[in-house]
Amino acid sequence: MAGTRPLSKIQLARLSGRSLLLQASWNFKQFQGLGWLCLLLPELKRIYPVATLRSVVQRYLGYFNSNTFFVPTIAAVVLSLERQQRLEQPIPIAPQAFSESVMAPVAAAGDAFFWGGLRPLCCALAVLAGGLGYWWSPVVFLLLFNGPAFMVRLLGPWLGYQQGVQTVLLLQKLRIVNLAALFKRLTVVVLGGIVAIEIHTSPATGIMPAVVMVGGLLALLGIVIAVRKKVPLAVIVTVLIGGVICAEQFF
Amino acid sequence: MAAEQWGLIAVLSVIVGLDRTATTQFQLSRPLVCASLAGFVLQNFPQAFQLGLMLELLWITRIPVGAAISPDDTQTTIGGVVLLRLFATGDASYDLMLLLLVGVVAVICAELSKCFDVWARHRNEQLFQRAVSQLESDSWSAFSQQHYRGLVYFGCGALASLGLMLLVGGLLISQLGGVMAQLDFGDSGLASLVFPLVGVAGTLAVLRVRNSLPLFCGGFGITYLMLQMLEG
Repeated sequence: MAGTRPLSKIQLARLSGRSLLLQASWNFKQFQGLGWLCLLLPELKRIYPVATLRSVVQRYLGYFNSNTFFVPTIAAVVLSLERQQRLEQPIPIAPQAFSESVMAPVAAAGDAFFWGGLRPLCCALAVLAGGLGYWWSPVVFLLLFNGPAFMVRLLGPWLGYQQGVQTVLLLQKLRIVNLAALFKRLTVVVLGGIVAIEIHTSPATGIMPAVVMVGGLLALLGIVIAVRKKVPLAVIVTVLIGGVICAEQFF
Repeated sequence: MAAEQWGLIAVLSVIVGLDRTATTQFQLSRPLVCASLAGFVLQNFPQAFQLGLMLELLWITRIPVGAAISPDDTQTTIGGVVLLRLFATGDASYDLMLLLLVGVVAVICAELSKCFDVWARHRNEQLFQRAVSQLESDSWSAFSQQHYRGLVYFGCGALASLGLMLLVGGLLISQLGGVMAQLDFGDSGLASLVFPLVGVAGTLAVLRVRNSLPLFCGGFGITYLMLQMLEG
Protein backbone atom coordinates (compact mmCIF):
# COMPACT_ATOMS: atom_id res chain seq x y z
CA MET A 1 0.00 0.00 0.00
CA ALA A 2 1.51 3.36 -1.02
CA GLY A 3 2.74 5.71 1.68
CA THR A 4 2.47 3.31 4.57
CA ARG A 5 6.17 2.87 5.23
CA PRO A 6 7.12 4.07 8.71
CA LEU A 7 8.50 7.59 9.00
CA SER A 8 12.30 7.79 8.83
CA LYS A 9 14.39 9.73 11.35
CA ILE A 10 14.88 12.46 8.75
CA GLN A 11 11.14 12.78 8.23
CA LEU A 12 10.66 12.99 12.00
CA ALA A 13 13.37 15.67 12.17
CA ARG A 14 11.49 17.57 9.43
CA LEU A 15 8.35 17.30 11.55
CA SER A 16 10.30 18.93 14.40
CA GLY A 17 11.49 21.61 12.00
CA ARG A 18 7.95 22.38 10.84
CA SER A 19 6.83 22.64 14.46
CA LEU A 20 9.00 25.76 14.80
CA LEU A 21 6.31 27.56 12.79
CA LEU A 22 3.39 26.00 14.65
CA GLN A 23 2.06 29.31 15.97
CA ALA A 24 2.51 31.39 12.80
CA SER A 25 -1.27 31.77 12.47
CA TRP A 26 -2.15 31.73 16.20
CA ASN A 27 -5.59 33.24 16.74
CA PHE A 28 -8.21 33.59 19.47
CA LYS A 29 -10.69 31.11 17.97
CA GLN A 30 -8.69 28.06 16.92
CA PHE A 31 -5.45 28.91 18.78
CA GLN A 32 -2.79 26.68 17.13
CA GLY A 33 -5.44 24.88 15.02
CA LEU A 34 -4.22 25.83 11.55
CA GLY A 35 -0.56 25.36 12.51
CA TRP A 36 -1.34 21.91 13.92
CA LEU A 37 -2.90 20.87 10.64
CA CYS A 38 -0.01 22.30 8.59
CA LEU A 39 2.35 20.32 10.82
CA LEU A 40 0.57 17.05 10.02
CA LEU A 41 -0.36 17.76 6.39
CA PRO A 42 2.81 16.63 4.53
CA GLU A 43 2.75 13.26 6.30
CA LEU A 44 -1.03 12.86 5.93
CA LYS A 45 -0.56 13.46 2.20
CA ARG A 46 1.96 10.63 2.18
CA ILE A 47 -0.29 8.22 4.08
CA TYR A 48 -3.62 8.88 2.35
CA PRO A 49 -4.53 9.07 -1.35
CA VAL A 50 -5.74 12.41 -2.67
CA ALA A 51 -9.33 11.16 -2.88
CA THR A 52 -9.65 10.63 0.88
CA LEU A 53 -7.22 13.31 2.07
CA ARG A 54 -9.82 16.08 2.35
CA SER A 55 -12.05 14.09 4.70
CA VAL A 56 -9.01 13.20 6.86
CA VAL A 57 -7.88 16.83 7.00
CA GLN A 58 -11.39 17.98 7.98
CA ARG A 59 -11.14 15.83 11.11
CA TYR A 60 -8.24 17.96 12.32
CA LEU A 61 -9.71 21.30 11.29
CA GLY A 62 -10.54 23.27 14.43
CA TYR A 63 -9.23 24.12 17.88
CA PHE A 64 -5.84 22.89 19.03
CA ASN A 65 -3.64 24.21 21.82
CA SER A 66 -0.75 22.59 23.62
CA ASN A 67 2.82 23.22 24.71
CA THR A 68 4.87 24.16 21.65
CA PHE A 69 7.85 22.02 22.68
CA PHE A 70 5.78 18.86 23.14
CA VAL A 71 3.56 19.28 20.08
CA PRO A 72 5.97 17.38 17.75
CA THR A 73 5.74 14.42 20.16
CA ILE A 74 1.93 14.45 20.04
CA ALA A 75 2.07 14.82 16.25
CA ALA A 76 4.36 11.80 15.95
CA VAL A 77 1.98 9.65 18.01
CA VAL A 78 -0.97 10.84 15.91
CA LEU A 79 0.86 10.00 12.67
CA SER A 80 1.79 6.59 14.02
CA LEU A 81 -1.89 5.96 14.81
CA GLU A 82 -2.97 7.27 11.39
CA ARG A 83 -0.57 4.88 9.71
CA GLN A 84 -1.85 1.95 11.75
CA GLN A 85 -5.41 2.95 10.91
CA ARG A 86 -4.57 3.10 7.21
CA LEU A 87 -3.03 -0.38 7.44
CA GLU A 88 -6.26 -1.47 9.13
CA GLN A 89 -4.37 -2.57 12.23
CA PRO A 90 -6.13 -2.40 15.62
CA ILE A 91 -5.52 0.92 17.40
CA PRO A 92 -6.19 1.70 21.09
CA ILE A 93 -7.68 5.13 20.34
CA ALA A 94 -8.61 7.12 17.26
CA PRO A 95 -5.79 9.53 16.24
CA GLN A 96 -7.91 12.65 16.53
CA ALA A 97 -9.39 11.54 19.86
CA PHE A 98 -5.84 10.99 21.13
CA SER A 99 -4.73 14.51 20.20
CA GLU A 100 -7.87 16.01 21.74
CA SER A 101 -7.46 14.09 24.98
CA VAL A 102 -3.74 14.75 25.56
CA MET A 103 -3.31 18.34 24.38
CA ALA A 104 -4.51 19.93 27.64
CA PRO A 105 -2.60 17.71 30.13
CA VAL A 106 0.56 17.94 28.02
CA ALA A 107 0.13 21.72 27.81
CA ALA A 108 -0.22 21.96 31.59
CA ALA A 109 2.87 19.86 32.28
CA GLY A 110 4.96 21.36 29.46
CA ASP A 111 4.07 24.96 30.29
CA ALA A 112 4.77 24.39 33.99
CA PHE A 113 8.17 22.96 33.14
CA PHE A 114 9.38 25.24 30.35
CA TRP A 115 7.66 28.55 31.12
CA GLY A 116 7.03 28.24 34.84
CA GLY A 117 10.21 26.45 35.92
CA LEU A 118 13.06 26.39 33.42
CA ARG A 119 12.79 29.85 31.89
CA PRO A 120 12.61 31.85 35.16
CA LEU A 121 15.59 29.90 36.48
CA CYS A 122 17.66 30.44 33.33
CA CYS A 123 16.71 34.15 33.26
CA ALA A 124 17.60 34.58 36.92
CA LEU A 125 20.97 32.86 36.41
CA ALA A 126 21.69 35.05 33.38
CA VAL A 127 20.83 38.22 35.34
CA LEU A 128 23.00 37.01 38.24
CA ALA A 129 25.95 36.48 35.87
CA GLY A 130 25.22 39.78 34.15
CA GLY A 131 25.15 41.56 37.52
CA LEU A 132 28.62 40.20 38.18
CA GLY A 133 29.74 41.77 34.92
CA TYR A 134 29.81 38.73 32.65
CA TRP A 135 28.70 40.13 29.29
CA TRP A 136 28.22 36.63 27.83
CA SER A 137 25.36 35.86 30.21
CA PRO A 138 22.71 36.08 27.40
CA VAL A 139 24.55 33.27 25.58
CA VAL A 140 24.49 31.14 28.73
CA PHE A 141 20.76 31.82 29.08
CA LEU A 142 20.09 30.74 25.49
CA LEU A 143 22.12 27.54 25.91
CA LEU A 144 20.55 26.63 29.24
CA PHE A 145 16.99 27.09 27.98
CA ASN A 146 17.34 25.77 24.46
CA GLY A 147 19.30 22.64 25.42
CA PRO A 148 16.32 20.86 27.02
CA ALA A 149 13.92 22.47 24.53
CA PHE A 150 15.87 21.07 21.56
CA MET A 151 16.09 17.68 23.20
CA VAL A 152 12.31 17.51 23.66
CA ARG A 153 11.69 18.84 20.15
CA LEU A 154 14.06 16.36 18.49
CA LEU A 155 13.83 13.23 20.63
CA GLY A 156 10.11 13.61 21.42
CA PRO A 157 8.86 12.77 17.91
CA TRP A 158 11.19 9.77 17.63
CA LEU A 159 10.00 8.48 21.01
CA GLY A 160 6.37 9.25 20.18
CA TYR A 161 6.53 7.44 16.86
CA GLN A 162 8.22 4.37 18.38
CA GLN A 163 6.14 4.12 21.56
CA GLY A 164 2.77 5.32 20.24
CA VAL A 165 0.18 6.04 22.95
CA GLN A 166 2.55 4.60 25.58
CA THR A 167 4.46 7.90 25.32
CA VAL A 168 1.91 9.47 27.65
CA LEU A 169 2.90 6.99 30.40
CA LEU A 170 6.58 7.76 29.78
CA LEU A 171 5.89 11.48 30.16
CA GLN A 172 4.08 10.77 33.43
CA LYS A 173 7.07 8.80 34.70
CA LEU A 174 9.41 11.70 33.96
CA ARG A 175 7.56 13.77 36.63
CA ILE A 176 8.39 17.01 34.89
CA VAL A 177 5.96 18.94 37.10
CA ASN A 178 8.05 18.00 40.16
CA LEU A 179 11.15 19.13 38.32
CA ALA A 180 9.43 22.44 37.58
CA ALA A 181 8.71 22.90 41.31
CA LEU A 182 12.38 22.28 42.09
CA PHE A 183 13.41 24.85 39.46
CA LYS A 184 11.06 27.40 41.03
CA ARG A 185 12.70 26.92 44.43
CA LEU A 186 16.14 27.30 42.87
CA THR A 187 14.93 30.49 41.16
CA VAL A 188 14.00 31.97 44.55
CA VAL A 189 17.52 31.20 45.85
CA VAL A 190 19.08 32.83 42.76
CA LEU A 191 16.82 35.88 43.17
CA GLY A 192 18.24 36.26 46.69
CA GLY A 193 21.70 36.21 45.11
CA ILE A 194 20.70 38.91 42.60
CA VAL A 195 19.49 41.25 45.35
CA ALA A 196 22.72 40.60 47.31
CA ILE A 197 24.83 41.53 44.25
CA GLU A 198 22.77 44.65 43.54
CA ILE A 199 23.01 45.84 47.13
CA HIS A 200 26.69 44.94 47.41
CA THR A 201 27.65 46.77 44.22
CA SER A 202 25.43 49.81 44.86
CA PRO A 203 27.46 52.95 45.72
CA ALA A 204 24.90 53.65 48.47
CA THR A 205 26.05 50.56 50.38
CA GLY A 206 29.50 52.07 50.85
CA ILE A 207 27.97 55.09 52.60
CA MET A 208 25.32 53.41 54.77
CA PRO A 209 25.43 49.60 54.37
CA ALA A 210 22.96 48.61 57.11
CA VAL A 211 20.39 51.22 56.06
CA VAL A 212 20.54 50.15 52.40
CA MET A 213 20.31 46.48 53.26
CA VAL A 214 17.39 46.77 55.66
CA GLY A 215 15.70 49.41 53.49
CA GLY A 216 16.17 47.29 50.38
CA LEU A 217 14.66 44.20 51.95
CA LEU A 218 11.74 46.19 53.39
CA ALA A 219 11.14 47.78 49.98
CA LEU A 220 11.20 44.31 48.47
CA LEU A 221 8.55 43.12 50.90
CA GLY A 222 6.43 46.21 50.15
CA ILE A 223 6.66 45.63 46.39
CA VAL A 224 5.73 41.95 46.79
CA ILE A 225 2.59 43.03 48.65
CA ALA A 226 1.82 45.71 46.04
CA VAL A 227 2.19 43.22 43.17
CA ARG A 228 -0.07 40.74 44.94
CA LYS A 229 -2.63 43.55 45.37
CA LYS A 230 -2.52 43.85 41.54
CA VAL A 231 -0.87 47.29 41.45
CA PRO A 232 0.52 47.62 37.89
CA LEU A 233 4.30 47.35 37.52
CA ALA A 234 4.34 50.61 35.55
CA VAL A 235 2.85 52.45 38.55
CA ILE A 236 5.27 50.86 41.05
CA VAL A 237 8.33 51.59 38.91
CA THR A 238 7.28 55.18 38.11
CA VAL A 239 6.46 56.03 41.74
CA LEU A 240 9.70 54.52 43.07
CA ILE A 241 11.96 56.13 40.44
CA GLY A 242 10.20 59.47 40.85
CA GLY A 243 10.46 59.22 44.64
CA VAL A 244 14.19 58.41 44.57
CA ILE A 245 14.96 61.22 42.11
CA CYS A 246 12.99 63.73 44.21
CA ALA A 247 14.75 62.52 47.35
CA GLU A 248 18.12 62.92 45.59
CA GLN A 249 17.25 66.57 44.83
CA PHE A 250 16.08 67.55 48.29
CA PHE A 251 18.44 65.60 50.56
CA MET B 1 22.34 56.67 13.41
CA ALA B 2 23.13 55.48 9.90
CA ALA B 3 20.45 54.22 7.52
CA GLU B 4 21.98 50.71 7.61
CA GLN B 5 21.64 50.67 11.38
CA TRP B 6 17.96 51.63 11.13
CA GLY B 7 17.50 48.85 8.60
CA LEU B 8 19.27 46.31 10.79
CA ILE B 9 17.20 47.35 13.81
CA ALA B 10 13.99 46.87 11.78
CA VAL B 11 15.13 43.39 10.69
CA LEU B 12 16.15 42.49 14.25
CA SER B 13 12.82 43.80 15.53
CA VAL B 14 10.87 41.54 13.15
CA ILE B 15 13.05 38.47 13.83
CA VAL B 16 12.86 38.70 17.62
CA GLY B 17 9.21 39.79 17.40
CA LEU B 18 8.37 36.59 15.54
CA ASP B 19 10.43 34.58 18.03
CA ARG B 20 8.09 35.72 20.84
CA THR B 21 5.09 33.67 19.74
CA ALA B 22 4.82 32.99 16.03
CA THR B 23 7.95 31.01 15.32
CA THR B 24 10.90 29.40 17.01
CA GLN B 25 10.59 30.59 20.63
CA PHE B 26 14.37 30.32 21.04
CA GLN B 27 14.00 33.16 23.59
CA LEU B 28 15.83 35.69 21.42
CA SER B 29 12.91 37.89 22.42
CA ARG B 30 13.96 38.11 26.09
CA PRO B 31 15.02 41.68 26.98
CA LEU B 32 18.54 40.65 28.00
CA VAL B 33 19.13 38.87 24.68
CA CYS B 34 17.48 41.33 22.30
CA ALA B 35 19.02 44.31 24.11
CA SER B 36 22.46 42.74 23.68
CA LEU B 37 21.80 42.08 19.99
CA ALA B 38 20.56 45.64 19.44
CA GLY B 39 23.58 46.90 21.39
CA PHE B 40 25.91 45.05 19.01
CA VAL B 41 24.11 46.52 16.01
CA LEU B 42 24.16 50.08 17.37
CA GLN B 43 27.59 49.76 18.98
CA ASN B 44 26.37 50.81 22.42
CA PHE B 45 26.60 47.38 24.01
CA PRO B 46 27.37 48.38 27.65
CA GLN B 47 24.31 50.63 27.92
CA ALA B 48 22.12 48.15 26.03
CA PHE B 49 23.26 45.32 28.29
CA GLN B 50 22.48 47.44 31.36
CA LEU B 51 18.96 48.14 30.03
CA GLY B 52 18.48 44.44 29.27
CA LEU B 53 19.47 43.50 32.80
CA MET B 54 17.08 46.12 34.22
CA LEU B 55 14.10 44.92 32.20
CA GLU B 56 14.77 41.17 32.15
CA LEU B 57 13.33 40.36 35.56
CA LEU B 58 10.22 42.53 35.27
CA TRP B 59 8.13 40.10 33.19
CA ILE B 60 10.01 36.89 33.87
CA THR B 61 6.88 35.04 34.97
CA ARG B 62 4.56 36.26 32.21
CA ILE B 63 4.20 33.16 30.10
CA PRO B 64 3.54 33.26 26.34
CA VAL B 65 0.81 30.62 26.29
CA GLY B 66 -2.91 30.49 25.57
CA ALA B 67 -4.92 33.64 25.16
CA ALA B 68 -2.97 35.59 27.79
CA ILE B 69 -1.09 38.38 26.03
CA SER B 70 1.99 39.45 27.95
CA PRO B 71 3.40 42.99 27.74
CA ASP B 72 5.66 43.48 24.73
CA ASP B 73 8.99 43.61 26.54
CA THR B 74 10.85 42.73 23.33
CA GLN B 75 10.09 45.73 21.13
CA THR B 76 10.17 48.18 24.01
CA THR B 77 13.65 46.93 24.90
CA ILE B 78 14.91 47.32 21.32
CA GLY B 79 13.25 50.75 21.16
CA GLY B 80 14.93 51.60 24.46
CA VAL B 81 18.36 50.70 23.08
CA VAL B 82 17.72 52.90 20.03
CA LEU B 83 16.69 55.79 22.30
CA LEU B 84 19.85 55.34 24.38
CA ARG B 85 21.89 55.46 21.18
CA LEU B 86 20.11 58.60 20.00
CA PHE B 87 20.03 60.62 23.21
CA ALA B 88 23.05 59.52 25.29
CA THR B 89 25.54 62.36 25.81
CA GLY B 90 28.50 60.63 27.44
CA ASP B 91 27.86 62.44 30.74
CA ALA B 92 27.57 59.67 33.37
CA SER B 93 24.90 61.33 35.52
CA TYR B 94 22.72 62.34 32.55
CA ASP B 95 23.08 58.93 30.90
CA LEU B 96 22.07 57.15 34.11
CA MET B 97 18.94 59.29 34.31
CA LEU B 98 18.29 58.64 30.63
CA LEU B 99 18.63 54.90 31.24
CA LEU B 100 16.08 55.08 34.07
CA LEU B 101 13.69 57.23 32.03
CA VAL B 102 13.94 54.82 29.09
CA GLY B 103 13.25 51.97 31.53
CA VAL B 104 10.10 53.67 32.83
CA VAL B 105 8.90 54.46 29.28
CA ALA B 106 9.56 50.83 28.32
CA VAL B 107 7.44 49.55 31.21
CA ILE B 108 4.53 51.78 30.19
CA CYS B 109 4.84 51.15 26.44
CA ALA B 110 5.10 47.38 26.98
CA GLU B 111 1.55 47.45 28.36
CA LEU B 112 0.26 49.70 25.54
CA SER B 113 1.93 47.58 22.85
CA LYS B 114 -0.17 44.56 23.75
CA CYS B 115 -2.84 45.95 21.42
CA PHE B 116 -0.65 45.25 18.34
CA ASP B 117 -0.24 41.62 19.35
CA VAL B 118 -4.01 41.35 19.86
CA TRP B 119 -4.55 42.94 16.41
CA ALA B 120 -2.27 40.38 14.72
CA ARG B 121 -4.08 37.48 16.40
CA HIS B 122 -7.49 38.81 15.33
CA ARG B 123 -6.24 39.17 11.74
CA ASN B 124 -5.15 35.53 11.87
CA GLU B 125 -8.76 34.46 12.50
CA GLN B 126 -9.51 35.48 8.90
CA LEU B 127 -6.63 33.33 7.68
CA PHE B 128 -8.31 30.29 9.13
CA GLN B 129 -11.52 31.06 7.25
CA ARG B 130 -9.57 31.53 4.01
CA ALA B 131 -7.69 28.27 4.59
CA VAL B 132 -11.00 26.43 4.96
CA SER B 133 -12.20 27.82 1.63
CA GLN B 134 -8.93 26.67 -0.01
CA LEU B 135 -9.65 23.22 1.36
CA GLU B 136 -12.93 23.12 -0.58
CA SER B 137 -10.94 23.40 -3.82
CA ASP B 138 -8.26 20.88 -2.73
CA SER B 139 -5.63 23.61 -3.14
CA TRP B 140 -3.11 22.31 -0.60
CA SER B 141 -0.25 24.72 -1.20
CA ALA B 142 -2.62 27.70 -0.91
CA PHE B 143 -3.99 26.12 2.27
CA SER B 144 -0.50 26.08 3.86
CA GLN B 145 0.26 29.58 2.60
CA GLN B 146 -2.63 30.97 4.66
CA HIS B 147 -0.92 29.63 7.76
CA TYR B 148 2.42 31.26 6.92
CA ARG B 149 0.73 34.59 6.14
CA GLY B 150 0.22 34.97 9.87
CA LEU B 151 3.94 35.75 10.10
CA VAL B 152 3.31 38.96 8.15
CA TYR B 153 0.74 40.16 10.71
CA PHE B 154 2.96 39.28 13.65
CA GLY B 155 5.88 41.04 11.92
CA CYS B 156 3.80 44.17 11.31
CA GLY B 157 2.65 44.09 14.95
CA ALA B 158 6.29 43.95 16.07
CA LEU B 159 7.26 46.95 13.92
CA ALA B 160 4.23 48.95 15.12
CA SER B 161 5.16 48.21 18.71
CA LEU B 162 8.74 49.38 18.09
CA GLY B 163 7.39 52.52 16.43
CA LEU B 164 5.19 53.31 19.43
CA MET B 165 8.12 52.98 21.84
CA LEU B 166 10.32 55.21 19.68
CA LEU B 167 7.56 57.81 19.30
CA VAL B 168 6.53 57.99 22.96
CA GLY B 169 10.09 57.68 24.26
CA GLY B 170 11.49 60.15 21.73
CA LEU B 171 8.81 62.75 22.52
CA LEU B 172 9.23 62.38 26.29
CA ILE B 173 13.01 62.53 26.24
CA SER B 174 13.11 65.50 23.89
CA GLN B 175 10.66 67.32 26.19
CA LEU B 176 12.32 66.32 29.47
CA GLY B 177 15.92 66.46 28.22
CA GLY B 178 16.40 70.07 29.35
CA VAL B 179 14.99 69.39 32.82
CA MET B 180 17.10 66.23 33.14
CA ALA B 181 20.28 68.11 32.30
CA GLN B 182 19.56 70.65 35.07
CA LEU B 183 18.84 68.05 37.75
CA ASP B 184 21.69 67.31 40.12
CA PHE B 185 21.51 63.56 40.03
CA GLY B 186 23.58 62.24 42.91
CA ASP B 187 25.70 59.14 42.76
CA SER B 188 23.99 57.29 45.63
CA GLY B 189 22.94 54.55 43.20
CA LEU B 190 19.56 54.14 44.92
CA ALA B 191 17.63 54.73 41.69
CA SER B 192 19.55 51.91 39.98
CA LEU B 193 18.27 49.53 42.66
CA VAL B 194 14.63 50.16 41.78
CA PHE B 195 14.39 47.97 38.66
CA PRO B 196 16.09 44.86 40.10
CA LEU B 197 14.08 45.17 43.31
CA VAL B 198 10.77 45.50 41.46
CA GLY B 199 11.72 42.63 39.15
CA VAL B 200 12.71 40.32 41.99
CA ALA B 201 9.66 41.27 44.07
CA GLY B 202 7.34 40.80 41.10
CA THR B 203 8.81 37.37 40.42
CA LEU B 204 8.58 36.32 44.08
CA ALA B 205 4.97 37.49 44.19
CA VAL B 206 3.99 35.42 41.18
CA LEU B 207 6.12 32.29 41.75
CA ARG B 208 4.39 31.50 45.10
CA VAL B 209 6.93 28.94 46.24
CA ARG B 210 6.54 27.25 49.62
CA ASN B 211 9.25 28.35 52.11
CA SER B 212 10.24 31.17 49.80
CA LEU B 213 11.46 33.39 52.69
CA PRO B 214 14.16 30.99 53.98
CA LEU B 215 15.17 30.13 50.41
CA PHE B 216 15.44 33.78 49.44
CA CYS B 217 17.31 34.76 52.61
CA GLY B 218 19.63 31.78 52.14
CA GLY B 219 20.49 32.85 48.61
CA PHE B 220 20.92 36.46 49.73
CA GLY B 221 23.10 35.58 52.74
CA ILE B 222 25.39 33.13 50.94
CA THR B 223 25.98 35.47 47.99
CA TYR B 224 26.53 38.53 50.18
CA LEU B 225 29.00 36.70 52.42
CA MET B 226 30.86 35.32 49.41
CA LEU B 227 31.12 38.78 47.87
CA GLN B 228 32.41 40.19 51.17
CA MET B 229 34.95 37.39 51.45
CA LEU B 230 36.13 37.89 47.88
CA GLU B 231 36.48 41.61 48.51
CA GLY B 232 38.22 41.20 51.87
